[in-house]
Formats: sequence, C-alpha cells, structure tokens
Amino acid sequence: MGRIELLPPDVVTKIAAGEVIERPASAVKELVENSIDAGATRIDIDLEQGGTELIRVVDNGHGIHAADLPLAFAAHATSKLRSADDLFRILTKGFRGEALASIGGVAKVTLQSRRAEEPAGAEIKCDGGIVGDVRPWGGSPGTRIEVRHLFYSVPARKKFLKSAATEIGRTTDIVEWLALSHPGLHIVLRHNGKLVYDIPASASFTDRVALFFGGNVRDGLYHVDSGPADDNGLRLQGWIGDPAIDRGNAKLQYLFVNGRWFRDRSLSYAIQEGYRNLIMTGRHPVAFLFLTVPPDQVDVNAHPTKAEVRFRENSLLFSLIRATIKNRLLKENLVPRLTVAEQPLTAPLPSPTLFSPRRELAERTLAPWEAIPARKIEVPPPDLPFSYSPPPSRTPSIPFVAPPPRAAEPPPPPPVAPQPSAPPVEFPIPATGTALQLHDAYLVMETPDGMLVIDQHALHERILFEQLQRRIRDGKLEVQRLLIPEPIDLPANHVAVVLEAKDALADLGLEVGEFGGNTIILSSYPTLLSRRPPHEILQGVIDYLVTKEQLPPKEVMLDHLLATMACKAAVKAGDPLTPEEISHLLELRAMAEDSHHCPHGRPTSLLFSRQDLDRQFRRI
Amino acid sequence: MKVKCQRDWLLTACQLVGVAVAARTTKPVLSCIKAIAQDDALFLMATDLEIGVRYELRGIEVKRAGAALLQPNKLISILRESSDADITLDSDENGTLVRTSTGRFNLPGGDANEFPDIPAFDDGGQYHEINAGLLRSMIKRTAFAADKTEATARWAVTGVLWEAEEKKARLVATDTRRLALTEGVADVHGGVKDAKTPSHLVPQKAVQLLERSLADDGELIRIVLKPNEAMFQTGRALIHTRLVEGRFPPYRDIIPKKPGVTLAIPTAEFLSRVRQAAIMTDDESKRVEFKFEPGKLTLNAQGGADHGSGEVTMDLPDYQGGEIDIAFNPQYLIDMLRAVESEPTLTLEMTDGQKPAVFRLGADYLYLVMPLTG
Repeated sequence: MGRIELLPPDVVTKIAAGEVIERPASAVKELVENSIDAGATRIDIDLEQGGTELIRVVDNGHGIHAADLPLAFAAHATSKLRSADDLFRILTKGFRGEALASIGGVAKVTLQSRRAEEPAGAEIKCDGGIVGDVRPWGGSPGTRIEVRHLFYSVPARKKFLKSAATEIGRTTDIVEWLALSHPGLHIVLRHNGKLVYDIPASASFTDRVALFFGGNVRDGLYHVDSGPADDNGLRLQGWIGDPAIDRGNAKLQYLFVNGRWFRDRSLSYAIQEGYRNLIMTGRHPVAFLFLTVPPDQVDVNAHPTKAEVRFRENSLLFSLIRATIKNRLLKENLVPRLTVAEQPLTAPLPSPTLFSPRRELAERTLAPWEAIPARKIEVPPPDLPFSYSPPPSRTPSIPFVAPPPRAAEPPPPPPVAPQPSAPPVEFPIPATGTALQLHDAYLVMETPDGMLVIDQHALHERILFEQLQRRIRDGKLEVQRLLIPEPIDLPANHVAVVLEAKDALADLGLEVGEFGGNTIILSSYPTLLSRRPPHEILQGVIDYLVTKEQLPPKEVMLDHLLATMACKAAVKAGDPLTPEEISHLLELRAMAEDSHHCPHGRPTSLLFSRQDLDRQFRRI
Repeated sequence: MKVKCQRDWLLTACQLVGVAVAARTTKPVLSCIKAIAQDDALFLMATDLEIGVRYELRGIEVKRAGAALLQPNKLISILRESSDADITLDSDENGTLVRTSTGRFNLPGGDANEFPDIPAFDDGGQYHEINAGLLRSMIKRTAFAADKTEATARWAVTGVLWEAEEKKARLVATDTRRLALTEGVADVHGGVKDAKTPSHLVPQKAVQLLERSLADDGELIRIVLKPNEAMFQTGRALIHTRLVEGRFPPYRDIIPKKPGVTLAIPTAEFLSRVRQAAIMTDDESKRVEFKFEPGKLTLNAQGGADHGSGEVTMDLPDYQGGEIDIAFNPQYLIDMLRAVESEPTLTLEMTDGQKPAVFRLGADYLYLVMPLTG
C-alpha cells in the first residue's frame, strides 16, 4: 500500500464540489443566493441544455471589489462571515465560502463584476480550478457569472446527470422557492434562449403561487399568522391550502426559515397533524410556511446544500405549526364546492406557439404536482380561459399563466394579514323534508347560496365521532376489566412498542403487561369500544403505533380509535332514511363543530352554488 | 309419504328442529327438514353439519310410509296460521301437499336421499344422566355468559364447558368479563373421563336446542361426551353436535379464594334496582356505580353528557361490613339475576372495586363478574 499523502488542492476542490455542487440546479442555487446576499433586486438566469452547457446569472447587486476577485475562487473565502461566532447569527444565505470555489473547480467560470460606485468593473476567469488574471471589464453595475461546461473536468459526475429536461426541472424548483421566499425580487429564467419565468418584482406572494401552481391553488389559500413573535422569538406566517386542494404528495409544502427554504420531516408531520380529520389518508395539504426563528436557535450549517436545518427547539415549532394551522382552519367554512366539468364557453386556448415542443416536454417533466391521481371532483382552474386576453403584441410578462385580473382581487402581500375569504357562512336548516335523499346515500338541500349535497354516511360518521370525543372530554373513560386477561402473541418489535407505550395505552383503558417472550397480556379495554373484541382494538392501536416514529399523543391515538368506531357505527350509503331521520341528522349537523369533513378527511358535503347553476344554464 | 298428524305437535316439532337448519349454506338440501314416516311415527331431522337433531313424533297416522324434504319456514307458517286440529302431509318426488280444512299448499321438495344422516345414539357404555328439570336450570344459569362476539383470540369461550365428575356434572361459560359455573347431580355410568382428555365445549346453539327439547321435568337426559362430539338423548329428541375446538381458560384459577366481605342480597329486589339504575345508562358505555354502606346500597348511573343521570337506593339491613365502591355493566348483573330470579337470596362476595365480585347460590352456582374501572 502507498503512503499517506495530503491531496493536491485541485483534487480537494473536486471532492468538495461533489458535496455542494451536485447538479446544475445546485450551482444555480448557490449563485442566485450569492446574488440575493449581494442585495440584488433583479436576477436573470440563462441556461443552456439544462445548465450543463451554460449557466449565466446576472444580478444588479452591489458587486465585488476588483481586488477581491482572485479570492472569490479560493476555498473558504467569503465576505459573509468573520468569526466562528458569526455562524450562530447567520442571516445571509451563504457563509461557507465554498460555492464559487467548488463551481470553479469543475467548470469554466467567468466572473465579471462592477461596484455601482466604481466607473468600471473587472473580470476573472477560472478554468477547472486554475484562476486567471484580473482584467478590466466595462459592464453595468452588478455581477455576472458564466459557468460553462459544468463537470467537464469530472466526467464521471457528468455521466450521472439526467436529461436536460430533468435538470431544468430541478432548476425551476430552486427558482420557485427562491421566488416564493423573496417577493420583491424580479427573477427571469430562460432556457435555451426561451423564457421560462419572468416574475416581476410587483408580483405578490399569491401571484407567484398562481404563476407556479395555478389559480386554483391561489384561490384555495388561507393566510396564517401566529401573531407577533412569542417569548422564544418564534413566529409563523404564511399560507395554507383549503383541504379541497389537497395533493397526492407533499411537494406543495414549502417550509422557509428566516427566508431560507428547507426540508423537515417532523415539521411536515406537524402540517399533516394540523389538518388531521380534514384530509384523507395519503393526501397532503398545500402549505407555504415562513418561520421566523432567532438566528441562534437554528443551525443552518447542518447540510452541505443547506437543504436541512436543525432547530434547538423542534417541539416548540411543531406545536406552533400544528396549533396555528388548526386554529386557522377552524375559522373557515370548509364545505367543498361541487363542480361540474364545464364545457368551455369560448374556443379552446391556442397552445402557446412561443415554445418549442422540447420546451413543453421540459415543462411537463418539471411539474410533478401535476401528476396527482385523478380525483372525483376536479376543480378546473377558474381564471385560465379568460385571463389570457392580452394580445400577443403586448409582450406578456409571464408566458404560461397570464397574470390574474388585477382589478378583481388585489392580491395582498404576504406579511399583511388579510382575510382572504368572506366570513364563514352558516347554513340555516330548512324545514323538515326539504332535504331529499338520493340513491339512499346522499341528501340534497337548499341553502341561501345554492344547493348542498350531503354524504349521509360521512356526515353521520362525523357527528358520532364528535359525540364520542365530547364524552371523553366531559367524563372519564370507562374501562371494563377482563376476568380472564387475554394473552396476545406479537412480533418482538411490536412487543417493545407496546410496552413502551404502556402508560399511554392505560390512559386509553387498554391495560397491557408483559407475559414473557413475545406475548403480552391485555387485562382491560374501554367500554366505549365494546363493539369490537378487545384484542382487535389493541391490534388496531398497535398497527397504528408501529407506523409512527414516536409515540403519538393520547388524544391522537384516541381520535384514531374513535374515527374507526364512528365509521363502523354510522349509517351507511344504501340505508334508506325516513324524513324524521333526515331532519334529525341535519339538526345534528348544525350542532357539529366541524361538519364539513368526516374524521377520515373525506368531505361530508359539497356546495353547488347558485352562481354555478346560473352559469350552467347560461343565465349569466 | 302420507301422514295425518296433530297440528300443534307438528308445529312444536318443526320449530324445534328448525333451530338446527343451516342459516346460510351452499347445499340447498341443508336448508330443509327431512321427514321419515314409518309404523306410527314421524321422524323430523335437520342439520347444518355441525349440529344435527332427530325428533320423534309418536301416535301419527301413517297412511303411506316414506321420506320427504320439507321447507321449514313455509311449513311452520302454514301450521301457525291454520287452526285445524289435524293436518295432512302428502309427499311424492315432486313435493309435498299440505292439506288443511280450508287450504292446500304445494311445497317444493327434493331428493330425501341426499340428506346427510344424523348419527345414531351410541353411548359406548360411558355416559351420564341428568334430570331434565335440573338440566334446564343449569343451562339457563350458565349459557347466557358464553361469548357471543368472539371476544378473545386465545381461548375457546363460544361454547359451554361440560364436565362430568363422580356423581355430578358441571357447566361453565364465560366471555372473559364474567363467568358462570353450575354443578348438578348426575348419574355417571361407565366411569368419568380422565383428566387428560380435552375439555368438552358444547356450542351455544346445541345447548339452546337441548334446552328447548327438554319437555318433562321428570325425564332423564342421557349425555355422551366424546373427544370431538357430544350427544344428548331426551325423551323425543336426539341431538348430535361437534364440539368447539380450542382451550377453555383455566377457570378455577380466577375464582377468588378469600373474599373481603360477604353479604346476602334479596334477588328480586336487587334485580329491580339494577334495572332501574340501568335506565339512565346509554348504549356505548354502560356503567352503574354501586356504593355498599352499612345498611344501605346506592346505585348511581351517569349517562353521557346529554343523557342524564339516576340514583336508586336499596336497604341492606343485614350488611354491617365496610364501605365498598364498585361499578358494573348492569347488563352483566341483569343477565344473571334473571336466570336466578326464582331464588330468594344470593350471596355476594367482594374485595374492592378492582377485583371480581362473586355471586353464589349455595354451593351449586357461582357467577363471577369483573368490575368497570376508570
């Protein structure tokens, strides 16, 4: 074997680049973040072949001193950090001084910069880690970086890149969350000379959402704000989606801490918890959440690309997110609107000829949220057909989705707390008999706004669920002890889970103990659940527990049990109801706290608005 | 086959045999009763392949011997609606003509030979006999406690445990929340089974059928317990059943040895108080709290938030023991109290609100019930 030797610097750079610069998108992220840190208000990004041939980022930031240019490509050279203590009060995006060095190590980079107060700027080239000389440059104030032939010096990595369409998709993801977290920033993205996004500085947060994800997402957003920072300096602001616009994956959950995008599984779970009983299993809510956390409470230096951060008080954030979302949703009348697939009133949109078919392909690849499974009730984007009215001669600033009609709804900027929708509408209960039962499964009734279609099973399930919940809240849980305790054989890992949760289970009335080996012994069960055999109740709880990483709170487990129970006890689709039963059910509906979704998150009722009816009949 | 018989006898017989008819079956023949007429007797048979019954009607006017398949539901309805004293059944391969004084009903038939045989009674020299009146009361006091909902995965408790010992028989039933045990005098022939043979768990349906087929208190019922099956011979009926497989829980271990307090309870009065208190409980969580104090018992029922509450008291002049708070599902007490309603007093043994309470009726009957906590 050879001797141990220090690696030459160019090898070190290539290794480091592997961590920070994974693909063109990561280079774009690092460069755009540098621009943002430099106070830029407009950033132009040009890519060619998904960024593998060219990445050009041009900003109007404060520029770099000509004298500092050679240092820009040196590893661990930065203007953003002075001492280790600064690491704990980082407010800039970058701080490690690795990005440019890494990019410079694996590509041919030209860096041109001019400070606004200087008459001229300077440029420097870096070719696979070899830094050239500083030369004068006569461009406009700001910084211009061209990265050509990314990974040309690391062919192995280049082989791992996906198709240009995939790579541009990753880049647009990055641009999206940068644009979402920086309203006021004008970002232009071009690919192969074609415009992908032109997001004007004036576009508010909701405009940006509509631009990226469609008008129906924007229209389904509720503003949340946990109020002024609490004692821990934490504040949550942002937008959450109506359960009706839920998704098949969690892609439309964006988390930002102090303006920095990050991923966090436990906080995603907090979002999911906030929507508990409002969203069906396997569905994910839409949320754009901006956390304000004191810089010393969050460690952003935990991941090479800073995609993950660490919080000092994760549990505080968890409960802040869950509670804020929950409280906000309680204020809403979440009856989903029944929609009918409309015949287009006007001729179908001519497909934008502005872009090549390849461009369209790229666009398809980059929109994973569009691949959500088909839903029964699909909300068509309401403002798409008529908003594309501006004549082509007036260059549209946003190519794919035209801006929403400004006059109709002035979109407020995110930090302000507007109430996006009218106050919840209460539906008065019509006289007995005005609800009509269809197919022994649905009830139809008139409301001031239109027509309400109720799923009798889902509604009854919800009502029973709340009754059971109330009973538990009011009184203690009655527990039937078993004369002959039930030994239950379980897999060894389940035994451990159950015994760990022993106390929580006892609170639920399920008294378990060790029996030896892989057997546990069940000696009591809650009488509320007496319709099911005790061992099945326990098995249900175990099945639920083993899917959780940590022990869910008692109320969560109980809710889970109650929901299952309510589902079994509720009237089913296919049960004919008498008029008395119908009116009783409707009375109960009026008393229910949350009558719009069943405990499993399915909607209990759909509103077919008067307006929709009128429109369908061409009255308006 | 052509017979003329008394309508009400036939009705009783059909209703009894009908219990054993398979409720859901893929073999259509099992949803029928098979009738055989010979000499002066009519035999009615039904089986669901688990339980089979053969019922014998004597003193029948047999005009033509033979066998037939009968639809029990229709036949029972015809017999019930008619008010004739006698009725005629006339069967051939096409079906059965039921003739009353005012009507003729054609019932579809089938091939009687397809009907599976009910095993003949064979005591093998090892059996026991119990007086019908005693057996009826033993069944009544235990069978209700057997499990109806498959409450346990481990134990076999959907049947009634049947044990024969020297000079006595024992019936035990439990659903793991309560347990009823009764013993009665039995005339054991051919020696008792040794301890190693598996326990005999008679399905609830067979026990019900047996109870219904007990006619005259004085007759002796002959019982044969075999490893996988049991047979019961009453005056008119032979019942054959497969046994419930599985292990019955070790019930002897759970009977408390040293009670904390013992008191006498007037049965009828106690039943009435428990039923009153139970009015204010609701379906989902039945709970009545019992407070035993010297000289007095107070029953409290608290329904859910909008279900109201109730309080019922009962004098216990003889009780001088300590105060005990214990809660029960009232249904568990009512089931038992109704079965022993004819007895004037019960003995109740308790320790505290966590341990099982024991009701006893002399040495022959014991009922254990686990309290509610929480």
